[in-house]
Amino acid sequence: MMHRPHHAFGLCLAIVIVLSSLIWHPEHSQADGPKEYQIKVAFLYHFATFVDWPSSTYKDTDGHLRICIMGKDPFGESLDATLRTKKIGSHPLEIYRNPSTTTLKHCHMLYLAAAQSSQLRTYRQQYGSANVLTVGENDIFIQHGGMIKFFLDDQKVRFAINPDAINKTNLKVSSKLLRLAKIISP
Amino acid sequence: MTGFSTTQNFPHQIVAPLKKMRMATLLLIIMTGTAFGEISDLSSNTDLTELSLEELMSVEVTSVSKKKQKLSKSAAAIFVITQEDIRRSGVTSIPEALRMAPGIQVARGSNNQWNISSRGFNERFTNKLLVLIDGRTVYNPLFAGVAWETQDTMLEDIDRIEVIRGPGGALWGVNAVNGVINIITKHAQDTQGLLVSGVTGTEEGIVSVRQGGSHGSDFQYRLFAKYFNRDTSFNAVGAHDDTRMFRSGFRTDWQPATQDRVMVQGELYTGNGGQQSTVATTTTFPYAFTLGNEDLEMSGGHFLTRWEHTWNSGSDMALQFFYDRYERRENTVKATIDTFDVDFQHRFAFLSHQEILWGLEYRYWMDDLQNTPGTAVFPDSQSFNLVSGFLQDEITVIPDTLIVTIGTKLSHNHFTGFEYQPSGRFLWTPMDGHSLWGAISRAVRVPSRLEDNIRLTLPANSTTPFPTLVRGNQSFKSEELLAYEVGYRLNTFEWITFDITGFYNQYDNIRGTRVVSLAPPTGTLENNLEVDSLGVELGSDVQLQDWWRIRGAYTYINMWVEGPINTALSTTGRGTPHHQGSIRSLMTLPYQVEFDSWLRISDNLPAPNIAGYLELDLRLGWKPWPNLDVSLVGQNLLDNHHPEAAPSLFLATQPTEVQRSVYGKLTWSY
Repeated sequence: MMHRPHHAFGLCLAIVIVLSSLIWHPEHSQADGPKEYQIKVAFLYHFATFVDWPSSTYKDTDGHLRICIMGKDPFGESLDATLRTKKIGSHPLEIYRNPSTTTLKHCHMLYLAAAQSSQLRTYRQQYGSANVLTVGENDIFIQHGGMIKFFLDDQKVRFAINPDAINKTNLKVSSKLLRLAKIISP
Repeated sequence: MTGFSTTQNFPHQIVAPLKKMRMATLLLIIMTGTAFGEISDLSSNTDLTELSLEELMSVEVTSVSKKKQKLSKSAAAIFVITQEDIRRSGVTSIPEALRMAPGIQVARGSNNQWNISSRGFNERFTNKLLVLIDGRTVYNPLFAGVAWETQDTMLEDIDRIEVIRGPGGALWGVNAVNGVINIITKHAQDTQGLLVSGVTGTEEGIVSVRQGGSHGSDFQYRLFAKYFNRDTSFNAVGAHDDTRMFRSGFRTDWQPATQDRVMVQGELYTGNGGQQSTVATTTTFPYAFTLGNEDLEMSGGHFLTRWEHTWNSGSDMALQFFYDRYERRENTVKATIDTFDVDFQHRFAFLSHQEILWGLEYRYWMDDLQNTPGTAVFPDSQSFNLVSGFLQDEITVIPDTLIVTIGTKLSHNHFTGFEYQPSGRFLWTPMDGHSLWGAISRAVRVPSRLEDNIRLTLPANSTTPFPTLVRGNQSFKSEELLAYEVGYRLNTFEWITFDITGFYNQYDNIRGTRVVSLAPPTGTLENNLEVDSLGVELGSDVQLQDWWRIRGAYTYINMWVEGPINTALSTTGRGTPHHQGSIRSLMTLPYQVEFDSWLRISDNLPAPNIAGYLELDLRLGWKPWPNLDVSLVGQNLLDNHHPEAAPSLFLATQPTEVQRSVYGKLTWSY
C-alpha cells in the first residue's frame, strides 16, 4: 500500500537526474575557488613582509630571503610560480625543499609540513640560535615551540601566533600581523 | 486495532507532499538552467599575493577537508562534540559525552547498561540508531542496536563525535532511522609522542597510555592501552554492577602519495561485570525463576583498513574493509557474533553544478548462540548477508545559496528482502550566516535476529500478572518511518551560533506484542503499533567573553502510540522524557586554570514512573606546564544517587541508580 507514492518519488529522481544532465555549462565548469595551499603560499609571502629579520641574516643588502620547506611539500608548483619573481624590500625570495643541516642555518622562514610537526625540536637543535620564523600546521607544532600555525575556520584559512616563541628571538613582528592573528600559547 | 485505519490514510498523506515535490522538481530544473550566470571571483590564475591579508582571510578554499567542513553546512540536524568538549566536560565514557547533544536521550541503566536513543524510543535495547566508529558500523544484529557497554577508546584520542539526528537512511545504512552517531578518532599524526593519563575517584579508576611515532614523513602510528574499573552503583536491593575492562589497539596512517591515504586500525578488549536478573530455569508453565546476581563476560575486537584516493579533478573514493568480533557470556545470553564488511564509496562532480556520491556495501554476519531454559533462539547458529547500494545527487541550484540533495538507498537483507529508503533535502542560505534546511525521508529498521525467532520466558511484571512466554515472529516486518524535518542555523556573528530543528515523524509497523494464548500465557511479537512523534531541538553556543563560553541544548519530544500497548514488552515511548536540557559553562581563567560546569535537567519518564532529575557536574582544571594537565571533577553532585532508566521488560535485569562521583585526573604528554 506504500508503493504508489514511492514510485512517484523514484520518478522524480529519474526526471531530475536526466533533465539536469541535459543542462551543460562548459564555460563555467571550473568555477572552483583557489586551493587551500595556494592561499597558504600567499600567506607565507605576507608573513615575510610583516616580519623583520636582523640585517645580519642576509648575505648583503640584496641578499636572498630563504623559505625552507621541511617534509612532503604540499604547495607544489604554486610556491615557485607565485614567489619566484617576488621581492621583500630589496631581498629576492629563494625556496629550498628539505635543505641540508648547513643550509638549514640560513633559512629565514621554516615551514613544517603537518607530518613533521613533532620534528621541530630536532631542527632547532640543528639551526641553533639562528633567527628562524617557524610556520606549521597544527597544535603539536606549537607545543614543540612553533611560532605561527595555520588553521581552517569555516573553509577560510586563518593563522595563529605564539608570541612566547617569537620573543625568544630577534625577529620583529609587525603589530598588524599580530592584530589579525589568533594569539595562542602552547 | 485502531491502528490499521490510520494506516489506510498513509498514501494520501504521502502523495500530497510528493505532488508538491514534483512541482518543485520542475521549478528546480528551470532554475538550474538560468542560475549559472555567476562566476567565482577568484579563478586559480589570480596572483593571490596581491590580496591583502584581510582579503586573504576571507577567501573560501576548496580543500581535501571539504567533506569535514561541509558538515556544518549540511541539510540535516547535526551537532558536533569536539575533543575540547569532551576534555572540558569531564566525562569518562562515550555515552556520557553524548549527553551534550540535543535530541539524544541517554540513560544509564547500570555500569554496563546504557539506554541511548535519538528522537525517542529509548529503552534497554534501543534500535533505530546507527553508530559508526571510524567508519566501522557497531551494529548488533541480535537486537538491531548497539552494545554500548563495549564501545570505548582513549577519550584523549577522539577527534570529534558527529551526532546527526533524523533519518540518515539514504546515505548511512539500514539502521539509521532516527539518527547516526559518528565517532571519529584522531589521525595518527595528531597523536605523536607519549601520553599517560590516570583517573582515580570515588566511583572509578582509569589508566590510559598511548605512544605515537612516525617513520619518515609519510607514515605515522599510535599504540594504546586502557583499563578501567567502575565501582558498584546503587540499588536498594544491591547492585552488583561493578565493571572492569581492558583494551588495547593501534592505528596507522600512511600517505604513499599525495593523493592516497591508507589507514589501518585494530583493537582487542576483554572485561567483566555483573547484573541482577530474574532468569527462568524451567521450560513449562508456571516456570521456576531465580532472582540473583550474575556475572557477565565481554570480549571482542576488530580490524579495519581503509584506502582513500583523490583525483586531480577533485573526485575521490574510499574502499574499506573491516572484521569485528563480539562475545558476551551471561546466564540469559551467550553469544558470539562475527561481522565482515566491505564498503566502497565514490564521489565525483557531474557537469558543473552537481556532485554525485554513490556506494556499495556487502556485510556478512555469523552468530553462535547458546540457548538457556529462559532464552532460546532457533536455530542457535546462523549466518546472513546484507547487500546495499546508494546514490545521492547534490545539485547546486544557485551557487552559495540553494543546494538540493536527492538520493536513495536500496538494500537487500535476510529477513525482509529488498528495502528502499529515499530522501530529498534542501539547504537555502539566503544570506551569509543564515541557513534554512528541510527534508523528507523514508527509512526502515529491519528485523533483528531475536525478533525473528526468539523464545523468551518472562516473570510476572507490572504489565502482565502471570509469567509469560514470548515468541519471535518469522514474518516480522521492517519498522517504517516517514520523516519531515525543518531547521534553521544562525552563524553570522562570531560570538553566537544558534540552531533550531523541528520534526514530525510517522512510524508504521512498530514492534508490539499480541496475545496468542492465555493458558499458558503466550504472546508473539507483532508489527502492530503506530507511532507519531513531534519534537523541537535547540542548540546554542555563546562566547560571552574571550574567556567565557556557554553551550546550551534543549530537547522536546512527544510520542503518540496507537495499538495494543498494554502488554509485556511494550515500553514504546515510555522511556523518553518530554523535556531535556543542558547548559555548560566553560571558563578559561588566568594562570592556566579552567573552571567548567554542566547543569542537566530531565523530565519524568512517562512510565514506568522514573522521576525527573537535575544534576550538576563541575570541573576545575590546571595546566601548570604545557605537557601536564591536572583536574578535579565532581559528577552528579546534586543527589547521592538517582535513577535514569526504566527497568527493561524484555530481559528482566534490574537497573541501578547513578551515584555522585568525585575524581582527580592527571594527564602527562611528551
